[in-house]
Amino acid sequence: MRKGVLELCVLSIIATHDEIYPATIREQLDSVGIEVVEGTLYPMLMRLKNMGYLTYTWQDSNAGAARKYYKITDTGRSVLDELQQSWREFVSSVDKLFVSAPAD
Amino acid sequence: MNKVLNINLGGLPFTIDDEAYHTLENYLQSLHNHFKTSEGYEEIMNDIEARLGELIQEGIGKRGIVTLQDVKNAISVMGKPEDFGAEPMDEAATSQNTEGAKKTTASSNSSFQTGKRLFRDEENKMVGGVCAGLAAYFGIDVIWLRIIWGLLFFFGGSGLLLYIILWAVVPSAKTTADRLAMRGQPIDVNNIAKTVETSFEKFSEKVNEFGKPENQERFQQQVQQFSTGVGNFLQSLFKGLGGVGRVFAIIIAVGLVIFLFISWIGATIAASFASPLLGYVTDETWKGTMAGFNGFGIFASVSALLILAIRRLIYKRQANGGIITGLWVFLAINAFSLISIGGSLAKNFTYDHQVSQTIDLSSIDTLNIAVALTSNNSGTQFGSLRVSDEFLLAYEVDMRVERSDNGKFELVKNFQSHGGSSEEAQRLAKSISYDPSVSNNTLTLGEYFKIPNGTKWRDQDVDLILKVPDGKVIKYNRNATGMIRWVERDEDDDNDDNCFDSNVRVWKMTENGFVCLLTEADGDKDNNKRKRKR
Repeated sequence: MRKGVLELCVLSIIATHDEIYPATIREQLDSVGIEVVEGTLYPMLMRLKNMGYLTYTWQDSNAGAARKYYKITDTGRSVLDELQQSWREFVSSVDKLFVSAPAD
Repeated sequence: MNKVLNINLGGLPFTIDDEAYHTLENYLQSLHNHFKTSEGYEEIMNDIEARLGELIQEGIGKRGIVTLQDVKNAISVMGKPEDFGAEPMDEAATSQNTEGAKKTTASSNSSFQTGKRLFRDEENKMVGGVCAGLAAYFGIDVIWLRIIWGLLFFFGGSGLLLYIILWAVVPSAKTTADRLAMRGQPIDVNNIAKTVETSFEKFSEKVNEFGKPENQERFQQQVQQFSTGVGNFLQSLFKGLGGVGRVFAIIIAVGLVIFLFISWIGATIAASFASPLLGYVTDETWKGTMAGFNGFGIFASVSALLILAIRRLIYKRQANGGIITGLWVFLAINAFSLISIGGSLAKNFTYDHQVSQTIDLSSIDTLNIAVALTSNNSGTQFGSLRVSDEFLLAYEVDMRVERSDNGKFELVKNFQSHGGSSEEAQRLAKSISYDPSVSNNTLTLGEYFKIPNGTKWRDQDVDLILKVPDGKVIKYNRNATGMIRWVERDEDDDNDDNCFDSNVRVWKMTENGFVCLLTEADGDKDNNKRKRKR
């Protein structure tokens, strides 16, 4: 469950930033109560990048080696719109079930 | 005393103590094991190592040496491989059995890397869920596997044995992760939603079923009973099913499905044997192959559409619209291709040409006509053509016998052929060799003429015309009547029944046509002979 939803969350976070470092993504997730380790993010980011939803740029940092900063692409944005749409539908469907379980 | 080492991690140099180094090494090894089969392994590892280096760098600050605690801190941020994977939804919801959760997490991870896994699908089962599981694994509709399995039962019960083995060996899909792994779908939000959705559908179906049994469930019950014995199945079919029409529907459907399957096999065999024939017909080999494929495609899509229609009737279940559209499109493409190939081939038949040769028979008074029956069993027969890789034999020789208008006793051989141009038609007509032999007053006719290898089949034809002058007699056996299509008889000959009744026919030409030379006794004798034989 988490993995699929996590992709949605990660894409959403990246979409709201111009450019973002993976550690920052994790912090943002953490701040809304979604706890993941950074190790979860790297393969996911790579996959999303390979699917053309993300790009990255190298940027120098004070801490040491150059960092990859991720950015959403137009494709990524339209996929995200779809994902968000189906997520809303999914949630509202499930909610309906919570409210009124089948009477018969 | 602690040993220290110098290492490079993610492009950063570190001095690290022995203990910390071993922990780091073990950790990187576990990451390697986790990602080694993943796509983009190197990139992931590089990213993670770079980040680990950065985290350790931040941790040690101005201190010179990396300690165990620094490594542990970095690892806790990055997480262990078992923390990376997808957590199965149902386990997450209950999260009571951590042991179980861990196990399924691990299994879903491995399935994510190694692709699909074979499970038994107990939610869609009829007997043990083997077919349903296989269907999910191969991504095809379960009905195909059930048909195949149904047929395998009739092949020495091999299907039954195989089924029992698979039933015993293949695990059933228990968790959502299993069910996804079964179909080999990536575990993402859409697929999870889809799976959950169908689970609810299944659930509500089952709830409905208790109040008002669905046809599908009934049918499943019937088939489950079928597994305990055909007798039971038939009994319960008539007892359990109220609607007589439904029984007939099932019988007809099963019959149709079996019929389709058998004709499918027949078509496969025919097509594989027809390939040399196609070589003789087509000007370019690819056209023949293509036509074969198109034929298959048309047959396959029509069969599939029929089966889907039947399935809809019995199961009351609509197939995926995409599949149906796809099948129609596939059918249309194949039909179009076949028609255009057919059209281009038809052009090769637009011209025709005939050449004639004559054999003089004037020295003969009574001509015996014999047919050289050949027992050629090589190759495959297609209508009047017998084809093998080496030759094409055309059993298209026939003869008409008519009154000679110029007093000559002769055999006229007319060789005909079609072709893409008049030159081709002429060349092909001339290339036909067919030589009836004449010796001892006997004309021996071959049943076929040969189209040599390398020459195309363009509906070549051999027509023989035997021209008989008045007073000459012809004599032939009953078995030659297959080749002698037409005899110009005297319509007023009262005697002709004697010839038709006889095994050997003897005709004499008069100015009004042939009259039978046999007496009633000859005919009766033969008749009696035949009667006695019976």
